[in-house]
Amino acid sequence: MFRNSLIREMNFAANFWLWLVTELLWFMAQVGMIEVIFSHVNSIGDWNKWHVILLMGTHQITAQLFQAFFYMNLANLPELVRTGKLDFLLLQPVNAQFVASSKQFGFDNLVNTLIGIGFVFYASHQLHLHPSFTQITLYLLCILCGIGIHYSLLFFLVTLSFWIVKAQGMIYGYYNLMNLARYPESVFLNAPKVWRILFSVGIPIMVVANVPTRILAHITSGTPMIWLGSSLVVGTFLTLWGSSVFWRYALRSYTSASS
Amino acid sequence: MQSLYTPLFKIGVQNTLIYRWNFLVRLTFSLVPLFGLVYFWKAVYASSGANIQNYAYGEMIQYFLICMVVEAFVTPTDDEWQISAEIRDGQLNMLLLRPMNHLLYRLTLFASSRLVNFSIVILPLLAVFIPFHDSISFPHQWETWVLFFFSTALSALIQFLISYSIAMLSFWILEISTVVFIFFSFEYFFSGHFFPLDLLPPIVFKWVLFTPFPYELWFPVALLQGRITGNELTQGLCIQFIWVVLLYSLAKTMWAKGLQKYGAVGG
Repeated sequence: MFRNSLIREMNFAANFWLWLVTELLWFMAQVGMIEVIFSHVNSIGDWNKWHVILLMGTHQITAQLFQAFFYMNLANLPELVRTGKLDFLLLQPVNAQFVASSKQFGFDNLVNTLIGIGFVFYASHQLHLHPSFTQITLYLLCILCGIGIHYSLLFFLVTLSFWIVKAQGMIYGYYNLMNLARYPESVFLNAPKVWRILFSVGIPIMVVANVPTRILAHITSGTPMIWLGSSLVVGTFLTLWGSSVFWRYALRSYTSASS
Repeated sequence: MQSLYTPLFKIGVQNTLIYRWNFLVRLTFSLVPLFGLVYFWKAVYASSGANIQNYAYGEMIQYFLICMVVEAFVTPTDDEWQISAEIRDGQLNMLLLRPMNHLLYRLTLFASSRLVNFSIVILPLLAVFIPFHDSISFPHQWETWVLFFFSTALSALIQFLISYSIAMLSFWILEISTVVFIFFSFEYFFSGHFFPLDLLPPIVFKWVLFTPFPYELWFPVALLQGRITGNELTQGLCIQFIWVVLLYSLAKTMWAKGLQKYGAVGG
C-alpha cells in the first residue's frame, strides 16, 4: 500500500512540490498572523508569542500526520458513496472502515510534519525548555490521541455523506472546527462553561494541541492539567468509538447508487 | 441580448439551492470561526488594555462581523472549480455553441449564487451583532454607505475576475487546485481576513495597498468603519478601480489564448 502511494506521488512530481509549497505558505500565514498580533500585545493570558508558536507547531504535527495517513481517503469517501464505488470496498474480506481510511498516503504531509517539528524545536529553544524523558513521552502520546481525534471527527462528518450526498460542506466543517484547536486554552477560559465542556469531551478540539503544548512548556495556569489530560484521553476514546458506531449504523442504510 | 441573462440568473439561484443540506451545513459551520474570533480577541484585549492600533474591542469584533457579511457577498465559493471542470470535461463545447459571452455567463451565475448566499447568511450574522450593539456604531452620512456599496461591488468583481483568471489555467494544466490554494493563502493574509490590515507594520502596509488583495475585503470594511477618509479614500477607490480593469483584461486575454489552444486540441 505504501509503495503504491509512493509510485502514485512520483507520477505527479510537480504537483507534489506545489502541494508542499501550498501547505508551507498556509503555515507561514498563520505564523505571520501571530507575529502581527504579538507586535501589539505581549501575551494572551499566560501565553507569550513562543508558547503560541509552540502550540501551532504541535497542531501542525498532529494535523499533518493525520492528513498523511487518513485525510485523502476520508475526503474521498463521499465520492465513493455518490458513485456507488463503495460496493467494491465492502466486498473485500477486510474491515471496510480500515480499507476506506487507508488507501492512500500523503507524502507532502510528511514533509509538512517536519516543518511543524522544526517550529516546535525552535520555539522550545526560545523558551529555554529542557523537557525530561517523561515529558517527551507524554507529548508524543498526546499527539497520538490528537490524531485519533482528528480522524474520528472527519470520519464522523464524512459518514454523514450517506445521507447528504454533496459533502464538501462537511470537509469545510472539519477545517473550521480544527481551526479552533490552534487557540491557546486561555482563549477558551472566557467562553461559557458549556462550550468548554463540549470542546473538551464531546468535540475535543480544545485539548488536541493544548494538552501536549502545556506538558512540554510547563504552563500550569488555566484549567488544571489533570482535568485537561483526562478529557483528552476520554475524548479520544469516546470520539473513536462514536464515529465507528455511527459508520456501522450508516452502512446499514447504504443501498448503493444506481442499483 | 439582455434578456438572455435573466433566466440564467434564475437557474443560478436554483442551482445554489439544489443541495440544500450541503448549503445549510456550510452555513452552520461558517459560524464556528466567529465563536473562536470573539473569544480570541476577548483574551487578547484582556491582556493588552483598551486599544490596539485605535481599535477598541467592540470595533475589532465589528470589523470581523462586517468582514463576514461582505465576504458572503463577494467571495466565490466554488466558481473556480466549476469553470475549471467545464473546461476539462468538455462541457465548454456546449457553452460555446450558445450565443453568449462566457465571462458574462459565469458572472451571472456568480452574482446569483452570491445573492442567495448573502440573503441567508445575513440572518445569523445579524443575530451576532445584537449582543455587541452597544459598542458598535455605523456611519450616519449616506455618502459613506453609497461608497461602501460601490466599493463592495468592485471587491466582488476583483474576487470574481481573479477566480476566473485562475480557472482559465485549466486550458494548460490539468490540476489547478494548488494554484488556487497558493493564491488563497495570499488572499487570506493580505485581504484582511485574519486581522485588520492596519495592524501590519506601517512599511508593509504601505506596499500592500498597491496589490489587489486589500481591495478584495479590507478596503470596503475599513471604509464603513470610517478609517479611510479624504485623499486616502479617493486614492484607494482609484487603485481598486484600476485593479478591476487590469484583471478584466487579464481574464479576457487568458480566455482568448486558452480558446485558441482548446480549439487546436479539440479540433
